[in-house]
Amino acid sequence: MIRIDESRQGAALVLRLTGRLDGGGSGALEALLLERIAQGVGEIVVDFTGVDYISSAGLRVLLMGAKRVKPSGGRLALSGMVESIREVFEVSGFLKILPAFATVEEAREGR
Amino acid sequence: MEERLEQARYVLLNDLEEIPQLAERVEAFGVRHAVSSKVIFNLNLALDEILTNVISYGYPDHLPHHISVTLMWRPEGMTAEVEDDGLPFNPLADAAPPQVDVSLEERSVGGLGIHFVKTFMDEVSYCREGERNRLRLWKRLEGSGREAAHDPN
Repeated sequence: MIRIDESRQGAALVLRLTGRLDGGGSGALEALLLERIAQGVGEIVVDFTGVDYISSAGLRVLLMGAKRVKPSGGRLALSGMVESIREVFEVSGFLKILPAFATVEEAREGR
Repeated sequence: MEERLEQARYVLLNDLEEIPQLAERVEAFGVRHAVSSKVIFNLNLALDEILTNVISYGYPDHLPHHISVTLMWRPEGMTAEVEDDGLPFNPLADAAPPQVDVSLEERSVGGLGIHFVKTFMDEVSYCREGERNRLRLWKRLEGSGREAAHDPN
């Protein structure tokens, strides 16, 4: 199960995730991202502080979101990964294509 | 004093919702044997990627099937063996590794799950036995000093 807490911080939409971003949890995130991007949101921060598990299904959704916001000058940034989660991002090569920061605040400002 | 289980077998249905439940059991099994949370995480990730493939693509008949997952603990490493009666699926023969050095626009996630399995496990072996796939994952346990290929038996 994944819980997604949404907040607006300045121009950015911040999604704080809690739980498992696996095959089940990624469906909820995908639906929410598609909806917000369709509404015109371009700056997205996905905070992983509360995430204890991610699989390729979760990565697929993040990649989809990042690709969708990029053409209009938007960006999807990551924050707050614990070590085991960070390693999955590292091995996937996603840290080369998605900006990652220690905190939500840095992710909002770090461009 | 609690007896330390060396082996545990779980039987799952071909339903993706079984995967997080298996993950809890793998974690409990690992904790019981003082396996690090990192190894448990990596083993669960590999099992998730394999089982997601089997469940999503292995059963075109859309009927209920059983998948067996056997965990074995030894001081030098943990083994997880997955047996299913789905379509032949050899993750070792499957697909080129994902391109991890391309731009965001060119990037896809194809092959990422199997890439995780190969990267996070120390040994992966596969065989097709009759109508069954049998996949064995092995993860070395820190401090065991074991480097060579292991004999599972």
